[in-house]
Amino acid sequence: MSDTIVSSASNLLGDYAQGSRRYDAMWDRAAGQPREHWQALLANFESLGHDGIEDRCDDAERMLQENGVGFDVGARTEGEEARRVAFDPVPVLISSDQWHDLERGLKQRARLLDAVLRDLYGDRQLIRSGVVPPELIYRHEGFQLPCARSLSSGLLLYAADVAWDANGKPRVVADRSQAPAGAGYALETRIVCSRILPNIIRAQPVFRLAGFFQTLRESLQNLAPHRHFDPHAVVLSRGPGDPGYFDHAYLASYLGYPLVQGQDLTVREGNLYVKTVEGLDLVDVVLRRLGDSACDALELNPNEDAGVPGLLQVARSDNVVLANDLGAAVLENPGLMAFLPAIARHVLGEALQIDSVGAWWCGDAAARDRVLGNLDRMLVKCIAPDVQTIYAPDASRAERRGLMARIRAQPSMFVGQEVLDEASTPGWVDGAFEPVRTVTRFFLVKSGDDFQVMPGGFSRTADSGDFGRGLSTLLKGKCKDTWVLAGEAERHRIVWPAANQNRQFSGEREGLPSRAAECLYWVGRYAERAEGMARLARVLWTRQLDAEQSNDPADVQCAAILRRVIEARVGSIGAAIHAGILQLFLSRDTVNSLSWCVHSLSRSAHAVRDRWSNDTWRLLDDMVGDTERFASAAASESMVPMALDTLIGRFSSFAGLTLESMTHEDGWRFLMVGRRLERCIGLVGLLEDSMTKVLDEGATHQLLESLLTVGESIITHRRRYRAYIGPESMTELLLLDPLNPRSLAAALDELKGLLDDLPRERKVAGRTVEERALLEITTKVKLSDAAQLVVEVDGKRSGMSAFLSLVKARLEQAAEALEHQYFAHVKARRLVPEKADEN
Amino acid sequence: MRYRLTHQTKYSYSEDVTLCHNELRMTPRDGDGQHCVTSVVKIDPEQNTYSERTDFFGNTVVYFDVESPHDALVILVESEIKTTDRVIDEVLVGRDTWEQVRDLMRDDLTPDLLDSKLYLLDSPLVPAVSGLDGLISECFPPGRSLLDACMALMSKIFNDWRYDPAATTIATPLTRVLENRAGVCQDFAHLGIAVLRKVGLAACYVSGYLETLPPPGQTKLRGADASHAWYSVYFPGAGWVDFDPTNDQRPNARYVIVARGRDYGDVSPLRGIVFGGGHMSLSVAVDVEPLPEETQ
Repeated sequence: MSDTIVSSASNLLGDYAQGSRRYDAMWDRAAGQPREHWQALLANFESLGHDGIEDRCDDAERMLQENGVGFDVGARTEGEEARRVAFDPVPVLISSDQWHDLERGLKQRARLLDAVLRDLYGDRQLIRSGVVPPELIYRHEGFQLPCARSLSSGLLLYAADVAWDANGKPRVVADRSQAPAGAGYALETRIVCSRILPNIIRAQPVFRLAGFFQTLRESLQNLAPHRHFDPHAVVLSRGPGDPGYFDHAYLASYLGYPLVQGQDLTVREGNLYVKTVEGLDLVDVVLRRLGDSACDALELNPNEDAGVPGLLQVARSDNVVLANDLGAAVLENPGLMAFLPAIARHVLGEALQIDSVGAWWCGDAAARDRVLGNLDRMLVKCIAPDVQTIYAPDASRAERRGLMARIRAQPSMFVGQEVLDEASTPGWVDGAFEPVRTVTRFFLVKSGDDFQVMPGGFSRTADSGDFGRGLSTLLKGKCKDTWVLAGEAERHRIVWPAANQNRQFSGEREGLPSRAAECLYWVGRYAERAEGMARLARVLWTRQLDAEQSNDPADVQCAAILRRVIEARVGSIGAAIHAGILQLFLSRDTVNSLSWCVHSLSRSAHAVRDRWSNDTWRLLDDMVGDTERFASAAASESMVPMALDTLIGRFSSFAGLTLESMTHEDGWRFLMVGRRLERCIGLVGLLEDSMTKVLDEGATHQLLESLLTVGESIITHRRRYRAYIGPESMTELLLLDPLNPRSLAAALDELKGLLDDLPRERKVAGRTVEERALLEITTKVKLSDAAQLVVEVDGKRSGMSAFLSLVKARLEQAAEALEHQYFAHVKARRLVPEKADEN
Repeated sequence: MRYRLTHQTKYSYSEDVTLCHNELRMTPRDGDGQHCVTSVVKIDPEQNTYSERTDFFGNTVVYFDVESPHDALVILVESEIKTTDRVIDEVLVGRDTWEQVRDLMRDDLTPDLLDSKLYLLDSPLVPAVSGLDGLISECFPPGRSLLDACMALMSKIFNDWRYDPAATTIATPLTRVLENRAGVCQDFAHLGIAVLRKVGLAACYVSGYLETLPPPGQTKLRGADASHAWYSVYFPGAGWVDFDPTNDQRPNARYVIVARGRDYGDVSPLRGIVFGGGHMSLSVAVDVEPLPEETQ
């Protein structure tokens, strides 16, 4: 049977691995055929055929793109294309036997590093007994003096970047101990892979990943200082500007923990709290995605404001569990690898089960000579901050000379790392199987006294020079899924483990972080503003074309008024109409332009990435994509109406999705408050800029029809008033009629309902400022009479003017009061230090 | 000697501070010939959280936060301390040449020495700088005993650098101190440490107080004292030996040690993060008041 598989697979294999003398994960050169654990997979790929595989690649890349993997709003500059994530459908395949060794070795390494961490921040026996040179530790930026004697749970999470050498042996190329990133990518890659290759993955005994995350949840839960049953855990991120933000948001959503930033948290009475719209909420566990030094401006880097001042003190007093403890970066010291075998013997009395990549610390004379003598095969790393890894083989002669001089001047600052001659594994390259090199990040979590390894990982195709660099570098390659095959005896472990029956839920709902509330509020405001602007632009476009064709003064006057309305919002748009409207799309820097609104909307939405469903997210992504595409097609006049129609369609879908698929809790309420407030403000502004002056009858007619169109009420108006149209009917429908869902009256009613349901704890007795303001205008609206509002005196509608300016003032007052009450932030600053100046 | 130390720090703000987190290093250390009898910290407005710990260097650190809105924060530290002259084996200290000690610091692997190796390395406020060669060749000629070399360095800084509080601020880098040949005790301590580390010796920064005497015929003014700083050199076998380049003398019973570290950054008396506050201003008053010796 295996013969048929090989011969059929060979169509895709072609001359795979011909001539290579390196170890290949799939091709057994001695036997002249694929290794046994690859055969089923190859046969399955063969049955998909070349085109089938290509199609699945496209599907996978589209899915990854749509889900926002690697798509990074904060870091993108204008005009830069969203980075398309490249996907390789051929997984990294690990046999059951290989996995046993790997798992055991990784666990040993995690236990060892945990012991090293405790020692270096405790008695420093490793230094005192001469096993580890003091300079290596003390000079490394990761060794944080304030963390001495301050550890609590040690190394909870650990990740190892592993590559396979030319003999097929796994080697650790980097240790990740602060906030190991990428577990979210591993999950997402697996989900995508199971969707595009459902039959293939099901045909193999591939371990599932969910159990690992369950263990992670349980481990954190067991350590929680305040509540073991239903601890409050948060994922702390730097926010959308962080290249790993997708990973943070994904992990947070998957684990069901809120995604927060430093400014969401505060230290009070020796505990850590998240600031929610309901008040302070005690936090038990922080899964931090921030580097050590950024976490606490009081004790660590005072110039960092991404963390929480006082956090280290809370952890030190065991009032919060940090995964991982601050100071863990000391384990990422590239020079430590050179001493790990000796440390393992000293600490565990064992030999290391998985070798590290060769590493030589130049503080040792013999090691220095070796590095200097073999620079063309070395990756040179500096243990101090601000110095980049140097891939010596790529360096010019002059650079290499400079590097040698620097190493000789300060040898203890440098570490030479072997450039690994790597094994290959199959990849799908240009439509055929080709040998590629990969690096896989494996994830471990402490569970009781030992560690559990995620049976899978985050694999990327990579070159040797990329190893040991940050995640952002790893993201440059193609991503691959990592399949660990279960042996006969363990097949039952593949399935999801049963949920812990003892778990209890308090049923207590977690409060909405104030910053998240603020972001959602602005999502609502920007979405409404963008939609309003698009509708205005569409009406102006039509009117302007009418005016140009007919040359009727009424048309011309109406178009001029509409243009004035728009220019009141975005400034001059120039004389040429279509160029003017394109300008609305184009200039992202012009406040209130369509492009600006959409990007602001996207930025706010991104900052609460964990709250959107995939469908909503795709829609947001499309909005940005459309806006950019229309902007880049600036020349084409004919595209304008279509472009506006498409965008308005997207805005409506977004409104519908948020209404239908977000739970109607506080987060949704803030979004809707933003929307309704913005709708009121927009409507009032629209009428203020167009209706307070009286035009002649023809122009008035055109204008009223335009306003009703912008206000999405023209159909209702026709049905109700037939052919009649006048200032009075328009005012009735757009401002005063609570039955028209698009009217000011209806929006105010909705606002009142929303505000009534907002968290009340912080509210003062009686009515709040925003409630009073809204009550005043609601009453005014109810008591107003359309006929009176539109009375004309001396060519002006002064009643309308007064009414609108009062409503506008109160709305602004309400918005300000709301923002102040729920979102106010105060920035942290350092105290001025005292100078010692005794003579 | 017995002293009552009072160190009052007052921050005033133009707007309310809603929350502050602080770390104090103002509690005198025990050891090195001194004993801290009592040390009490009073905070106004009253703190919400207060805790003490010992840091990496063995200094006492007080953490506190104030969670009620305030436009002024007053921290008063009152300590009573007994001091004696340091007991140092002068024969042992004077025995080795500076080269011998340097080589020992480099090559010896006994635990005590390994511990003090931290102080051989640059630190954030004492980075490796150029321009020290003249000082080194003058103070560290071949074959001189380490003690004599250290005495020479102390005197050199005292004689060639002008004491001038206006010359530097808390943020003045070491290179500027070298260029201007002026500064205050903190700058002189950093300068001495830089020279010693460049030579290959272990040197640490010491913060504390010095009892000042009023000019003859005048009474001492209250609050006119200030915190002081000097440096200390590691002598293998004998331990840390202090030198005060600001006054060209080896610290005695009139000196009170508060904290040791690699440089000022490790021992700054108060650091804090405040939320709000607007414009802030700082005033400090220190008293080192001699007490009558206890009769026994």
